[in-house]
Amino acid sequence: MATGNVVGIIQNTIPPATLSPQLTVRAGGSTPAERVLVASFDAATIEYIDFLVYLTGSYAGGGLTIPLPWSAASATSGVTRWGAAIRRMADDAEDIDGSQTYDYNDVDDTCASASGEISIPTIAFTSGADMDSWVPGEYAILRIRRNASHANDTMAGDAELWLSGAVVKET
Amino acid sequence: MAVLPDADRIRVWRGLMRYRPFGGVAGVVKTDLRAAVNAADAWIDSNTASFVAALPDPFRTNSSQNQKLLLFVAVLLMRFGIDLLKQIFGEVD
Repeated sequence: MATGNVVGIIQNTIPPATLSPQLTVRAGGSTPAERVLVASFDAATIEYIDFLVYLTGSYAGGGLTIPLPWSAASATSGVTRWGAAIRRMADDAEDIDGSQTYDYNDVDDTCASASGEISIPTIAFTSGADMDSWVPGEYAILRIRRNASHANDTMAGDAELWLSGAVVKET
Repeated sequence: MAVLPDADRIRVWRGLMRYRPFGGVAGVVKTDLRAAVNAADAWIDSNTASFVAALPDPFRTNSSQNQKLLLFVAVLLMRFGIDLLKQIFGEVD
């Protein structure tokens, strides 16, 4: 069992054509200043970002866990509702030209006590249909969203997803 | 003058949340900010007559409602910071 191992390789980060977050930099306080690449998700509109991911042969069928390191652009209170969904790109079967109804698994996470600190909630997928029956050796679109319209999403201001921290782990 | 339509109050609310220089307010979530926007708009509506009465003539009599609003906004923006005022009005020597 490969519990906790990284089993997905992020090939690319792809903002959708519409409703995508602003890709920007969160500057650190050191000299020289650090620059963390972030996707800044709006507080008033649902926005999405996609990752093209390859599921490696080390995946043992235990389901997936997606950690989502994020920080608040300015807030120090409130909850952000993150969602993750998978579109399996099955070999000679899934047509990217077709439409996918993404089925999201969600997590509500309270922001860190300081806006420059990160919180790392996780979203889990059980093996099988919950992860669109994605199997090792295949690519998939992993779509992450901030469900800013949901009643549980109370945090005012942008939520910054730390892009360098994106991984796909076996549960 | 009436209070803003709800759709416009929502625009103000969204704009403030997207405006990074606005920053975060400790203990304040979306609904709290929305309530503050509503209260600010209601206060402006309630006190517009008082503001107009404070203006001297001939400006008070000869200016349009929009000109009175821009006057109010210009003074407020200067109180906030000259850079934002310049973004709206251009150079202010």
